[in-house]
Amino acid sequence: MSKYTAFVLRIYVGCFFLYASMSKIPYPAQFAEATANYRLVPYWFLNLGAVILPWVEFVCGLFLIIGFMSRASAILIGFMIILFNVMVLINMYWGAPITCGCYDTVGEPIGWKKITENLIMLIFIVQIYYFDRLFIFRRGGLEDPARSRVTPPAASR
Amino acid sequence: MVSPSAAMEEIQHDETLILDAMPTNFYQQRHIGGAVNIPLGLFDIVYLMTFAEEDKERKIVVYGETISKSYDLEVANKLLLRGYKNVRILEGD
Repeated sequence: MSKYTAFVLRIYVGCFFLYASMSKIPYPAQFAEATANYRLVPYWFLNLGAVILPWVEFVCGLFLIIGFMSRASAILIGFMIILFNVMVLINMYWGAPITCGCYDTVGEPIGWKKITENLIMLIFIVQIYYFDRLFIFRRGGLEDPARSRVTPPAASR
Repeated sequence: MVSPSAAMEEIQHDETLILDAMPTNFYQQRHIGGAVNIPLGLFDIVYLMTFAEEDKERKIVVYGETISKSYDLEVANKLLLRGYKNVRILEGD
């Protein structure tokens, strides 16, 4: 896996989560309803989570796009994907007639398609975590660490 | 609050109206026999269409609670606010 592919995946995953968050941030009540349908999130966290989680998605997506703390963002997104997949699997086991609530208030029904999509996204996240080395945002602007690596001066005798 | 056994007895004597407060998709999947669905999200519409003429003195038992939301409690409160006096919540899940 090249650093260029990891860069493309980083931009893709970043845009994906930015889009997903922007459909939830303006409608926290609807997102809370969709989350309540999973019957796994305790009531005391439901509203708080419905406000916080879309912003976590937004910040992680933005950080992935600009390349700032991209590995930390990848870990957070990966954790959210795993958590979501577990929730979907439990509800599939229960036979719950619910929609995923991923991008809009209606959403598509949960099922193996959704699980597969999330697993593919998880593979992308792993690639980003291990191979993302290109255009990483640091102090002073964007840089390619491979190019800007400075050879340490030889020790003088 | 009313226990399931007491509610069952009242249902058999046809004294009590059983309301399922869960969203419609859950009601369609599973519900107590004879229960009427009045989902919290659509309460105002369903109430106007179905319950507006209901006797305010009639015994009503509401159920539908999950770890995430007390649908039953919220629907019961709405009914109490509309003047129903004998509204109770079914114990347990």
